[in-house]
Amino acid sequence: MGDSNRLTLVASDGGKFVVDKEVVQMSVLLKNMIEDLGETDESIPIPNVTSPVLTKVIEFCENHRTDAARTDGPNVDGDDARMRTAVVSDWDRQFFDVDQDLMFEIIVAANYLDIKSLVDVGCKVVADMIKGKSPQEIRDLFDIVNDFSPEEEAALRKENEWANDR
Amino acid sequence: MNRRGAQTLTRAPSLYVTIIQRVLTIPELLEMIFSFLEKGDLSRNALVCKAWSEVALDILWRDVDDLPRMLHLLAPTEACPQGQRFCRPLEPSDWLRFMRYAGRVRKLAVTPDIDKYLQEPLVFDEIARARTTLHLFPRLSSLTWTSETGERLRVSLMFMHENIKGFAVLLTPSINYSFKVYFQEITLRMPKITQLDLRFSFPVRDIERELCELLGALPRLEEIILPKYTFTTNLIEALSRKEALRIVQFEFIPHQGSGDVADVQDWKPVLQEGAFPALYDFNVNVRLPAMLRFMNDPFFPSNLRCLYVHLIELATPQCVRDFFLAVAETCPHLTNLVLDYSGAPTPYVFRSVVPEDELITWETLRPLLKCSQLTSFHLDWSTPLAISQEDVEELASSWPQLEVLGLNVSPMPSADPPSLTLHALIPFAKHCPDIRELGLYIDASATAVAHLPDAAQLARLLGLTARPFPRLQRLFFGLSSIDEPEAVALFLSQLCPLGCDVDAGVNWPDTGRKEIVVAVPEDMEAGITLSRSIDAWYHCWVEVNQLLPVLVKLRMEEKKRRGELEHEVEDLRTCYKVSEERRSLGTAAVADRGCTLQ
Repeated sequence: MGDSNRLTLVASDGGKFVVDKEVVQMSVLLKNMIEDLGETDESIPIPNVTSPVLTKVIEFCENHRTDAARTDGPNVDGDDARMRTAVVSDWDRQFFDVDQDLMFEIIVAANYLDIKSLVDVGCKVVADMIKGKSPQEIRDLFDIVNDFSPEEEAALRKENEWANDR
Repeated sequence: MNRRGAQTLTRAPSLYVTIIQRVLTIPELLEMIFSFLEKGDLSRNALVCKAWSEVALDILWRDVDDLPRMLHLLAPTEACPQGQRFCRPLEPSDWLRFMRYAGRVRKLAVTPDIDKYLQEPLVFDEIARARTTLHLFPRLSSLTWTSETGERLRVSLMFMHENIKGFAVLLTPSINYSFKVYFQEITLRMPKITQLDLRFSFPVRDIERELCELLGALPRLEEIILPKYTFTTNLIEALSRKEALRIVQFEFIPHQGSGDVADVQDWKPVLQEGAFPALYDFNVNVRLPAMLRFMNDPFFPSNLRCLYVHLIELATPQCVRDFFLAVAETCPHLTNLVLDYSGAPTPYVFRSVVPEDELITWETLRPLLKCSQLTSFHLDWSTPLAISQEDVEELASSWPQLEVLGLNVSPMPSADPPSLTLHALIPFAKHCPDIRELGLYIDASATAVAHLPDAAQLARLLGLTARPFPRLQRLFFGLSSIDEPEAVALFLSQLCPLGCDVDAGVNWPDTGRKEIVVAVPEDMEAGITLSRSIDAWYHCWVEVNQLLPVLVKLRMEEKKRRGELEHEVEDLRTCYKVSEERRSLGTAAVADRGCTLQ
């Protein structure tokens, strides 16, 4: 196309996506890659990410492209604690209203592509799912096998029960 | 989202690893997910499976401010006449259990309460006798020890080790244990300290030599925090030789304690070549002429970003001007500056008439405009500034990068009203889009508010500024006079964004909101009246803060509705124009009769 402001990304299954450079650069991995490549017409392969997942990732970046510029600079006030409790916006919640496999694939892809804001929101959504649940409910939810013996579990429970009233 | 349907009846481990299991075993992702959770959730996560447990326990036990909880991991304790003790002798299995958690602790803080609870060192004696390893908390990197009993300083030795980077301690004198020995222990046991925070309430001269030796023996020191009035000539000279030192700081907060102001009265450090090679944040309590002399030292550090000068004595406006000139000259990279004469150690005094030659004017401040990287500036002075609206215009237009400004918000008021009014906000709204906090000392009385520009004039003054103060979070009006909260809130609602707080009151340390001190008996009555006015003003500003959000919201809705109306009018105009055109063509008049506007 010759448009220097746009780039082609190729998913692991061969799906092609033409995206604004500005949007692509929200991924630290791709940003560095583009800087290394310099001006080029070549498309960029993303071998670890499938088309459906890449579609979602691009959708997120398109939507968040304006706030990227703001977080790019030094941290406004470095207030970690406030960041932690920050609520997930309605748009982000809707965005992650997909089946669990896809949700986790998005998080893995975001982690691989190094898109901090997407990893952040993804982790917050998972944290919200965990909140208030018992260990067994969590195991059921995520299909996790309990590899503790009953004695080990009882000891752990006793040694950490202080945290429950916090 | 529940995947129950996908489970097998036996719950046998799946033959393949699902994407979910993959994500939930990547420690960095798990750590991030857990960082959004409360302690109660973490304690439940620790029971889910072994991989989760490791990550959850690491977070749960990272910061420990409850030493008894740690000790209960060893064995139950009980009260006895001498304090707490273990119910039984410790066994090897106790240590295995203890070390599973102790290895996760990065920060340990022992507060006076905790120390009192443990009382006599019975538990510590048993630990010292029975421990199986020298380092109780092998990964500890930060230790805070604040016991109010001097003899118990020694107990802290048990937790020191060579990888500790941050160390804070309350120094309480004791007849049986000298600080000289304690400092030697610190040097020996924690040679890699980067952050040292010493809290005490005695003159620093009592330990000055020992303290200089301690500083000399900590090669990696990056940050030192001490009580006020403790950075003496000798201490500054000792610190100036620290290669890695970045921050020299005192704290006003009560728990930091306080030195004796006499120790910094005769302050004249001399620097050697290469002094303070890494220093970027410097905070001192000095007299201004002494500071000036220091800044004119040829080896004064040139890379300062932050400078906080707290004055122990009032200076002349000429000296203040010279100081600002020196700042502009010697600190070209400065981003944060505070010049603070805020009534400590001697309180402000009320005088109904302040002599002209004591007033800080625009001529005094102006040299500072050369500091083009300054984003935060605070000035606190005993008398109101004699500056005009034009001066504020020049200040705001010269410093578009400004983020925080506190322009002498709570001086001791004089009989005359402040020279500025709410009008002074407008230049900042126009020129400083990044401003987050703005503090001004103004006259917001009914008479002054009556002279403020109306909406149309305001729009003209703001010019092309579409959204004034987009990042403003706090307006601080200190001791500004006010009597009609509604009128003030109405004006502010035209400038402030939603969520901006309005604050007032004094920020005089040490003195707080006590009785007003007067210079001459004749001022006593005026002083009492003033004291009452200060209370009244404060309550008015509180009311402004309550009214403001509602008014801002109203204005936003009004603006939205006006926008919609304008749109509608525009549509109607187009419609009218189209039908006019058709009419002039003479063909459509019959067919479109319903749409003509006549």
